[in-house]
Amino acid sequence: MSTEEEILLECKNVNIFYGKKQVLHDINLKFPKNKVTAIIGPSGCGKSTLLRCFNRMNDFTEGFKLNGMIKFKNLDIYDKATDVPRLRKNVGMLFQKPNPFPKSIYKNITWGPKINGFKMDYDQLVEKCLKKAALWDEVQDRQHESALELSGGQQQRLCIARTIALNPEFILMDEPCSALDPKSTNKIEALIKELSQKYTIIIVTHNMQQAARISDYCLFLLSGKAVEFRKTEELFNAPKSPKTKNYIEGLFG
Amino acid sequence: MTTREIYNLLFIFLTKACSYFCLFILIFLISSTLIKAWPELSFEFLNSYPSRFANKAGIKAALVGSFYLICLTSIIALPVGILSALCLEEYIPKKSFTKKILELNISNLASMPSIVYGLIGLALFARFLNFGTSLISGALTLSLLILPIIIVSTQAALKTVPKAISLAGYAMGAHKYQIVFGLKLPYALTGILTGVILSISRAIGESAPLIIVGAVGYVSFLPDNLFDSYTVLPVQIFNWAGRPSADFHNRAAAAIIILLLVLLSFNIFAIYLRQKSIRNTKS
Repeated sequence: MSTEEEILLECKNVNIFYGKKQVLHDINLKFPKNKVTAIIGPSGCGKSTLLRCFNRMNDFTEGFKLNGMIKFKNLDIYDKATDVPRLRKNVGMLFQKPNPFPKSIYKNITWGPKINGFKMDYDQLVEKCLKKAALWDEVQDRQHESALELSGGQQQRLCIARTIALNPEFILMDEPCSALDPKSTNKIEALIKELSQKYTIIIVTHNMQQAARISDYCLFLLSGKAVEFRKTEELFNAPKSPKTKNYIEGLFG
Repeated sequence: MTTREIYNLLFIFLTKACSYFCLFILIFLISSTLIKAWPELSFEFLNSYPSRFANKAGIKAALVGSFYLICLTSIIALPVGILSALCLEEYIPKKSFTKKILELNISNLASMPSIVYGLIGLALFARFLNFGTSLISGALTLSLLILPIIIVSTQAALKTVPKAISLAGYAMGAHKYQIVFGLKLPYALTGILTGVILSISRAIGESAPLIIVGAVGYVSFLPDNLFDSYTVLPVQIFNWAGRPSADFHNRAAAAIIILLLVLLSFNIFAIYLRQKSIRNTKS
């Protein structure tokens, strides 16, 4: 990690357990601000677990336990006094499968701001967010129809739109394209590029080409250990660890 | 033909025979009732009070009594039932002992014979609370009767809400009550309503517990407050069917047809809601 970047998130000696099983070992990382960081690694290596630490979505997993510290700016995320809903409001999240609310397109976007007590012109907000998510042209005439009528790719872009409606400080993406066809994947990737100018994005992906295409930094996780974390170009062109080399050459995983 | 093909045909024949048998019984019952009831059905019949003379007896008091009783029962049982289900599903830890005990009890109550509820109602509402043989005693008793059904069906409806939806809500900074009221309840609403309608239609058809808590067969006025005497359709039918004169039996048949029509319309509405909820949730 180069020193000139501003740090947004920092993991210090993070160990994570599900019951007695340890899934992440001694993670020490610094995530830079306003960059796209990809987390890659074989299935079950703990990518999603790490991602879900940053907005405490792991709290819903039974037996979850974390030692160590995760800092977001000056906030200790796992401190007992942390206001978890407020933290989550500041962290956007995109899930593996598009999961719009069974409400209208319009209400999908306004629900978040409403429950968080934002006072604003909602019509304007909806238009702004749909435009940012490159969905406005497709749905502007049917904002009040059910979001479930949209295609999978459109649903995922709607999920992006409703996430940025809360103006989060960074966005977590958990394999956001794995349930989508190549065409929709292209659109989402273009969108991620676009959003990265304003937002910090941490994305978990199975797809190494995708990581290479869209990320500035890349973290390779293997069996719960952070093997290598560097600029994406460097990691793919000149991996330091033989394990990373094997993985990106497709020898295992 | 091979033996397996013969078995296949036999099996199809058996399943069809069984289902047509049920249908046949139902058609037989309805048509034999309808034959008796047909000459009796008239606006006069709906709009008259019971009488000593079969040809003057009507079901006005019973219809209105049933209507009042169901409204009261719904007002009492729906909030209590739905909130209990929410508490069980959302706020009591999933694997806790309390939840297991409560659910065991509720499913036991759901299968208890209705006459037992009548006895509870008699002891608790009619005698102990001194409500006597009034509308409110009947409504409270029926509320107890349908509460377990409402709770179980509401729980089932809440369980159909995909986890991904509430996770999305939490990820946006929602507090639990906002997830429950803003996302889960709207999603489960049609399912809850279906259960509610089915339980209310059960309440409309109940007679045993109401006979015990004092719905009477001869009421020649409409109840005008909660503590008035009343009668309901099933009790009226029971009363008429027990008389020696065949004329009253025909009146009972006519009342049965009216009761069936009311129940049928409730069930059709429930089916309509279920279809609608299937349409809403397809993605």
